[in-house]
Amino acid sequence: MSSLDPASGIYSAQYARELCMRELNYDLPEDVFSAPIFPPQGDHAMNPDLTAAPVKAKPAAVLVPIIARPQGATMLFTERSARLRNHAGQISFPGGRMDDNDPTPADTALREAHEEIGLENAHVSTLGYLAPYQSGTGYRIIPVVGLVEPSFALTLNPNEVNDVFEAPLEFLMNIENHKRHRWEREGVMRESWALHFGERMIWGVTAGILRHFWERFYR
Amino acid sequence: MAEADKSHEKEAATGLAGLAAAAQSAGGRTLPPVHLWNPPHCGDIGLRITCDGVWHYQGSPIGRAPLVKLFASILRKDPEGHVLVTPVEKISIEVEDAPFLAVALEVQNAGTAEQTVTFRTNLDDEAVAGPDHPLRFEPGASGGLKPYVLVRGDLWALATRPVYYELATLGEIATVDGAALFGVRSRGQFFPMCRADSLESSFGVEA
Repeated sequence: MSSLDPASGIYSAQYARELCMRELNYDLPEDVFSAPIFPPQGDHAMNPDLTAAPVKAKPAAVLVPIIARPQGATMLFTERSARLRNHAGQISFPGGRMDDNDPTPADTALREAHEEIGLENAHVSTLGYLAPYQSGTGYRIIPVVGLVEPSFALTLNPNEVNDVFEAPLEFLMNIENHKRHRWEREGVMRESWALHFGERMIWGVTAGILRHFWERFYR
Repeated sequence: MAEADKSHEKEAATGLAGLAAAAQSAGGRTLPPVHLWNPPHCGDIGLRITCDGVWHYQGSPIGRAPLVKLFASILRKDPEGHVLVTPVEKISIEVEDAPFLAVALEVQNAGTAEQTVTFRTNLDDEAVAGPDHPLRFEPGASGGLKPYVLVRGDLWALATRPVYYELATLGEIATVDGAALFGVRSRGQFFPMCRADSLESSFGVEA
């Protein structure tokens, strides 16, 4: 059996699921959203001057959706609506700010996935949390890995999402596809990871989380 | 039994060790969000919690407390009954009465409006009676009552007899919708147990 066998190789949903179930859990420090320090993962990792600003931690969560396609696992991304105030038009994982009513970040991620793209919870099994990721915009994001059964149907909320697409895990976890992206903002050079998938560019927070996923499981 | 059902049974029949490994990898120190998981139902492997709170596997008690606590961390109440659930499988578990027993209680500010009643279960969970952990009372044998406290999700603990009697000593009579009711106050909430004029038959003792 090859390690690239779509049904059982390292880019299969089954492999990713077993890896995540073994390695991930739901433990978060009690002060995960109140600690006045930057967590190890975040936009500041490549832009150290960001840590000069006072740390803000607006609690948020995203769903890192691994779709169990028989021909090999994919991840699902959204293209955020141009109408949004934050990160408009960017490629993103479904997710958003935590509500007071969300018992856990996993609940936030699934609620947002449902609101944004109509993904029903019944299709998703959460597998655990990746390390909190601090965005340059002040969000402290808990990435929730979820295995998604491919029988789902989506209904996009046009106020939040322009489009959705899937990219193969095999592409996303190939380090040759991890590039550095540089741009200027308010006179300062900024840098993040970037993956060019067809016409689309995944960069910023989402690419940072993907890079961490690679470091954790595929390096 | 149909062939398809059998293959499911086989999948689930990795036995206790397999299930324990799955439960272990499903969580950490924090209880996993079992309410978010929707795996396929994989049948019944002979798990049962008897009314004395003891967990059994194929007729024999599971003696190891850490293993029982591990299983309790993935216990969930579904409309069809209690299940042990991981992201990838769901196994029925028969619960004779309630999955947990409340084996001890502690009271703070007894007899005041700020009275707080905390229950401890046989698996060392704590539940402070109040809006998050309501009490309910059901008719028991010979006219008595069976008190339950909500531990989490839709998982309840049945109070043992000593805890029940201790709880009754903390009771008071309050008027609710014009009726005089006997009940217990905790975290500002009043949980009625019975009509004040039926105290004798509910407790078998003079009030």
